Amino acid sequence: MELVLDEGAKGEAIVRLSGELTVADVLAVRQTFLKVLEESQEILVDLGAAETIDSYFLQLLCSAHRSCILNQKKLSFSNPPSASVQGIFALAGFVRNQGCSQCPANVKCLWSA
Amino acid sequence: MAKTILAVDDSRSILQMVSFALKGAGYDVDVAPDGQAALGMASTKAYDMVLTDLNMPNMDGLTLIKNLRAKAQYRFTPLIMLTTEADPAFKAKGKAVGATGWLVKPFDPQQLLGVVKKVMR
Amino acid sequence: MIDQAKEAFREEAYELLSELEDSLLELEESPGDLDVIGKVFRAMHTIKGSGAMFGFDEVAAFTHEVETIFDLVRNGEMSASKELVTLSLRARDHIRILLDHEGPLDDSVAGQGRDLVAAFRRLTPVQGGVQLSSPAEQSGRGGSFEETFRIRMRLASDIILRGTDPLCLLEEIFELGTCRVIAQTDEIPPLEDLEPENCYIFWDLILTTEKGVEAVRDVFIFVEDEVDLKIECIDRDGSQDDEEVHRRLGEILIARGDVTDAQIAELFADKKPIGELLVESRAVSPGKVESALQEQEHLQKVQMQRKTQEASSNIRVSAERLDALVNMVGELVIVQARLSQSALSRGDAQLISIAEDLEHLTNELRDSSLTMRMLPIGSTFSKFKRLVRDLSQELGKDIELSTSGADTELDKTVIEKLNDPLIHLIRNSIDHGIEMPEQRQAMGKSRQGTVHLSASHSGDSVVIEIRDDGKGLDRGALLAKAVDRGLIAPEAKLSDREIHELIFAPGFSTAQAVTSVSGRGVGMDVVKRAIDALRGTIAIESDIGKGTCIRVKMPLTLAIVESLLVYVAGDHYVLPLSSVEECIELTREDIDAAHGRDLIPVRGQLVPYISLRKHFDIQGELPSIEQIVITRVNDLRVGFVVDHVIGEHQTVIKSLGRIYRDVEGVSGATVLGDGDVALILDVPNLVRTVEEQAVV
Repeated sequence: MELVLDEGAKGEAIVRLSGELTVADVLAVRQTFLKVLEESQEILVDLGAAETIDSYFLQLLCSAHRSCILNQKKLSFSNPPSASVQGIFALAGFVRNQGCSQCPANVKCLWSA
Repeated sequence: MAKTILAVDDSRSILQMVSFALKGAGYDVDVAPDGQAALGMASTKAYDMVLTDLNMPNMDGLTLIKNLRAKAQYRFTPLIMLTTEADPAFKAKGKAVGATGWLVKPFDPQQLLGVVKKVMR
Repeated sequence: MIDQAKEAFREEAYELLSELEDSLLELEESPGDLDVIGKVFRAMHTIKGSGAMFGFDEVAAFTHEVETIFDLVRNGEMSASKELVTLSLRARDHIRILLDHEGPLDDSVAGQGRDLVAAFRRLTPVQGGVQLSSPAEQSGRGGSFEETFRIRMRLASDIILRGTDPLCLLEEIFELGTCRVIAQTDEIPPLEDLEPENCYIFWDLILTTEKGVEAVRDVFIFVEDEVDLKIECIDRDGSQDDEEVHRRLGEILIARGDVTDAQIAELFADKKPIGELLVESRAVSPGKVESALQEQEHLQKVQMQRKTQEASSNIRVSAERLDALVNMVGELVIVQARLSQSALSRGDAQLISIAEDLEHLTNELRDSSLTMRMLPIGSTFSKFKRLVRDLSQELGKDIELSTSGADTELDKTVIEKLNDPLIHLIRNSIDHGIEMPEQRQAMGKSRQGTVHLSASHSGDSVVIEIRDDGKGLDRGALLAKAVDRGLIAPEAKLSDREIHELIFAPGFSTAQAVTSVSGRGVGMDVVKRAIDALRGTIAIESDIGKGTCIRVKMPLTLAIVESLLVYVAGDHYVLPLSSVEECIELTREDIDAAHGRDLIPVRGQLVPYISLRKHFDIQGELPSIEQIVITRVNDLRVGFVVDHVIGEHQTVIKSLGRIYRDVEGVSGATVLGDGDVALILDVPNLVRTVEEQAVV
């Protein structure tokens, strides 16, 4: 896995994750997210170059999204995740029409199509 | 990128059959004759999966699994034991040291690949 | 590469064989040493196992025989005699020969192997045991039919520390069929509280597969103890309850235990879609609703697909039309028989040849029109699942119904008529056979009882078995009751089979209490009569404490049967060929030798016989030599005395009119080639008459 922090035109934080996103790196990535969350109002996650992702990493993204909602911040994908990663979304059951119980009505679910 | 599997057994014939079958299915395979040798190899290279016999000289399979699981690098790696007995007690012992699953001998290449596919994406 | 592996195996096997030799010699010195016995067994086991893996099939097969024996020795069921050691040493040498052998075995080597195997088998103690308790065939899965399962899988939170990736499990389930999956993420905490290596997610899956529930369970074989798994079958090919098909969202959620009835009712006053209402009221999380919606959609799709499939490959024809066709074929068979007969009597070679061609065609037409009415018995089976579920709940018993041979085909009319008798037999097993869970536990059985329903073909019949692992029939209780009811004399000596058959006697019931399940009144005698009327037979086997097996044998079809045509004093009769064993002569001398009893020796056994003349009270001159048709029903042989046997006959069964329906001993009639009518004898019924006479 490789993690690159970037800044967007409007000052949003961009977290670019590439390679194999697995449980092996969730501890470290959680720390990064915690830090970014403290510093930025809006976070964009870029999975465009990710090769694979596992359920622990999906869970981490879900959790980060939840933290953002609780703190009135925003988290979304900067661009569509890679095709292989989208395939895993489907396999793992992370494709939703409705949000989860944590989602307020005005926030789009991270996993909605 | 092809996944790399380490196969450990003191029987040369088993090792040959295992590596032939796995290579045929597109995996990279390294072999080791006992637990001690395997532990050494696993420290210098990152394997995606380890298949090990239980009864071996120098270091048996259960000890190998226990040692591998204790390494940061192998905390989440599928570790499969090859056993001759379909004895539940053996499976429980394996689980206790952190084995992911088991394969009962005799097995054919199809069964072997079935188990590998079961634990590795 | 494989050759190298083979060579490596050979070298290892040589080593094992020399170790084996040492161990065997050691065993001769100290025959009781368990360590040595274990060594011998392991050596055999490895040679067999690896042999099979490397294509040394002869080695594996032969070693298996020897290993089997040493397994017995290891378990203390056999001793390591000198004879066994000697034989094993010879076997060791034989394995060595097999190892070195390339290509097919020559006769002398193969012969040696056979001799050794035979010698080993002679040493093996005879395996007793009742077939009833063998679960071997019980796992059989009848045919490939689609089922849809609702699966909820919740893994231990530290599952990844055993190297198990949850997505691997999902992937494996996806490979079983068509699948939808929803991750339930409600329990994932915000980042601050997240232990990222714990698994907070659980999954809802809807899977449609032909592979059965066992295949689904197999996916979890490595994580059995680490998974909380709920699998429910919510749809089955061709047998789903109609209500289940169009289940509404709320019902699905209730069935899953995600919401309660009361919660739904409270909301129902409003008009919004129920999913929205539930989410708004926070009664259930959106993820759960999502999952239920997916189930609804998935089921609709599966059922739609099935309908289109059925439509494309089959034509629906009403049953009446098929019945009409079969009737006409029946008429055709009769006309054809008349044609053949008159052609023969004219001696017209050309006409005979035409008649033969017609006969050929008629037979084919008959077979194919009869197969059109064949249906797999599975549809009936699945109805019983519900029955078993409801009844066992009512009685507080824990019972599983397993089935095999659901694809066995039988004539539609036979299936319909079997329904009631089968329901009755299953009820009986549940009510009288299977014990209460506590009782079972006390006897060292599993709390859950099983009733196994199976169907299979056997010649021109279908055998249906209802097998339970309940308490079995109590000989003593049966005998006492039979004496009490005056069915048998107190001093009567009865075989096990005869005792078991007592339950078919009219008015016999052994249950202590009258329950609503099997009740009173409808006894097993009614079942037996119903089966007899269908030209079937029923037999019972039971082992006390272990279970009961009831075997119903039915003819494939009720329309046309192969039978034997006989002649008695100007009239014709037919007997179903399936119950006929042989025909012998009955001379004056035979009758005199029996001293007034209706018995005749057949192959060293005395067989009772019925004279049809006497039975039907037919007057007239007796021929000097009569013939006896020996029949067998439920292992009982009975002869029927006739004037003479004419031969085999294709009998098209016509039912008798209402007035004659209750005539005992006759089950129908048929029209012969010359337009004459022949009565079809109800063999089981007649045999029973003889039995009753014999008892009295």
